[in-house]
Amino acid sequence: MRAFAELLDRLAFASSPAIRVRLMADYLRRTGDPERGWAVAALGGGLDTARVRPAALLALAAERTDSELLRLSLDFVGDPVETAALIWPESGAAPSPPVLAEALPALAGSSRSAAPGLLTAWFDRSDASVRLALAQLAAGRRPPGVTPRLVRTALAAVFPADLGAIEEVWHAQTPPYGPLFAWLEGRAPRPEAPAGFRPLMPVRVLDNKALAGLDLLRYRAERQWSGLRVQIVAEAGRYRLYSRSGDDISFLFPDVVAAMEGLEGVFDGVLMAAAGPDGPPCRPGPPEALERRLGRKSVPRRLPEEVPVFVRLFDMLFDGGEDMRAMALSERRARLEARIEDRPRFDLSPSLAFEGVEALDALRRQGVSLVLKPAAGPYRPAGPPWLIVRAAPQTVRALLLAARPGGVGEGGPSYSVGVFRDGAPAAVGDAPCRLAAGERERLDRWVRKHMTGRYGPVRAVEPALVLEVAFDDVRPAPRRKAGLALERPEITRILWDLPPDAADGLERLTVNRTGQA
Amino acid sequence: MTDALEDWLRLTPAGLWCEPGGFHIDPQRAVERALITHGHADHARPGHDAVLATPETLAIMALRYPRDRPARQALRYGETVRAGGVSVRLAPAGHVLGSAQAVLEYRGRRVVVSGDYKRAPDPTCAAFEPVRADVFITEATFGLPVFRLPDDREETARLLHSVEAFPDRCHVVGAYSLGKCQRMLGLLRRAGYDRPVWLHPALDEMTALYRDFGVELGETRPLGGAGSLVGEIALQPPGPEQRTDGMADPVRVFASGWMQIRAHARRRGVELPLAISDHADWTALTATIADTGAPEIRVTHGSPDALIRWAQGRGLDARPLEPPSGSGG
Repeated sequence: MRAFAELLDRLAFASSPAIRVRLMADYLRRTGDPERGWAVAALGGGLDTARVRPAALLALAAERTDSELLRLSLDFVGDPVETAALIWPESGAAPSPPVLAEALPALAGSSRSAAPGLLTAWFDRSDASVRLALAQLAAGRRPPGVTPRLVRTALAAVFPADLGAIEEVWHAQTPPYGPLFAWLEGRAPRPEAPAGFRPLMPVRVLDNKALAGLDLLRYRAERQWSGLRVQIVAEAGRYRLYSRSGDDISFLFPDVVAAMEGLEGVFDGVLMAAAGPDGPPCRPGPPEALERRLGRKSVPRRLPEEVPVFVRLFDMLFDGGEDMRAMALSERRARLEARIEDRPRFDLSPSLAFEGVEALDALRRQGVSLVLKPAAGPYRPAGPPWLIVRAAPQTVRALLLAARPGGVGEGGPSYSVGVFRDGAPAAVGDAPCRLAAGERERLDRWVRKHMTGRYGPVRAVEPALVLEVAFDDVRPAPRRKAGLALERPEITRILWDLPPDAADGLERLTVNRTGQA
Repeated sequence: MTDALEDWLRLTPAGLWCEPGGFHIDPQRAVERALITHGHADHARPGHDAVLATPETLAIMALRYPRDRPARQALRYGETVRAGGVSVRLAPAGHVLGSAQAVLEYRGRRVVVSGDYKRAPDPTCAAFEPVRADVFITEATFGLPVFRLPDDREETARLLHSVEAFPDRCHVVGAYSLGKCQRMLGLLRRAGYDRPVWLHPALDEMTALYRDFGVELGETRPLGGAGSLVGEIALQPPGPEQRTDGMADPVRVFASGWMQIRAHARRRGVELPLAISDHADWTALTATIADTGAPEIRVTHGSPDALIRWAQGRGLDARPLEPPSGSGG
């Protein structure tokens, strides 16, 4: 547990995914069964250990310490989970912390009322670093930037199996993953994984220079849809939806699973919010509506009706039992069109006709992002990726409204920006600033000098500084006062000398926009 | 009836003032006569007419303020001098080389001014020596119970493990030039690390001074243009002077008690925070108050509230060190 606590601590401060992978790989190399399996479960989200709220952790600490000392400490530390772990009194006896194989299953199997008792007993046996790790597990906090995919990447770095092979068997495994490790170490055959995930074609964003060097005639183009990339697997009466990283999300979309009835094969597409129950072809709804369907533990009965979704397919990997991945895209596409005709909740992503780079640019200027795929290319995830050509960025003059320091795993601070609506600034997005260091420092000095209030880590400022903000698109955002939000905003220039009223009004963002098809 | 403490020792705008002795302790402004507990700039300022300190602290001040020419009086640990009616002795504080507690006696009452101190063993300076006192004036930099720092050997082992796990990167440890830098060297050597350690030029002179006083720090090499330093450890002062250009994907490490709190470590932007401090942590602060046996406690620097609360809970007369009321300062 000490080693795992140290790993969590390092992960909390790791600056890139590559470093996170190395830290996890280092741990996995030094750790045996079943401890490493439980660690993988804790890191990869394979186990729900969220049993104690931060306030309840603090209440546990309050039973052991003076309330005033606890209050002063919390004021200083800020985080109740960390405060409780650090302030916990120690007996002076040598710590004998629980192993993960003891703590994790016990925590996951406990009720919300029993979990505090478990924690108390473990805290009494542990030093501060282990207490902090246990507290975070119990509070359901996971290290920032550690995704299930990244954990599998670490496994692929340690063992002689590639990521794709691990992902194909992953979903059928349960903690502490004994058979998986046995296979990875060559001690056992590859575990069975019926209706498993197949690695997806990756995508890469293409810059203008690379685009100019491309032989466009060899490519097919499609619109890039904003939604959730999914893999649809229908095999031997099993129907599953996987996320881009190979996580089984079927339970989130019972409506889609039901609509797969009778399908046989593996498909690639984008799951989107629908504007209504009709189709195919389906009409996309506001992309942010999809948020309500995600990140849940269970699905309320009415939700599928309230927020209808559909899957827009663009590729086919298996037709029944036939592996099509070596075939050319044009061939796969023809088969897909034949198989998917007139099925509710499914439709096809149309191919866009274009001639040369001028036609592409015209689409981009209309705010359309595109995906380019070689027409003769196979579906080979390890090969060259599909290429994304982003819509031409547009700019708006916006007012700086607030600054928020960047957390771990984020690029840096982000700045809330707004435009005028009825004479008052209304926020339209949070934009990072990747200008030169000198300019960023000047901006932060400005923020400190013009601060009008603090809301947690967020500093509100006087709306007096005009920024040029580039963005890819505008989407409706009913909960914002402005009613819309910028997609991918970024501060591209600070207009130090402009007066505040030089900022644009909301109408600048609402006219002349092309809606989504 | 004994004299009230404030009759002869009180906080003034210039700093702690001992009236019958006619000297200030760690004054913030230039004064006539100063007793300096240790060489850190927030305690040792230039411009005094006369300075009383340990020989090590005097040497550190001479190095830091080459143009400063006070009358210097060296007082070794354990020796006593008289100033006015006050007897003055210096006892090791364990904070940095030459750091001392000021032990003052006047009319049968003994006051111990801790200066900055720590209780953890440090191979680069004399160990803290608890002194019985009637009044103990203590620092409280880490005066909160969340600051119970891990064993510095464990923190050193974390650094060395990281060097092993990332052999293709350079570990750049941020450490203050006086004390922390040499302590890190000492800790690395004690842990058996015998490779040369690369020193930023700003850390060079102070490290040489430690060596002059007989502190063993192993081989160090100057950082300037040293290249990628793959697999090596470099020490740098914290803050903007840090140089990482040319280094192989540097791991930013920072050694400080503040690293105990994640939000602080995040603000520093470090990848490997090490909770190694030259100040007493909560355990040491409370143990030291008990060790002095002092019924009166005055708390200064850092977070006094929690420590005062703790001491009052043990029936001690504990208060913040403040200027006497009505003094206008």
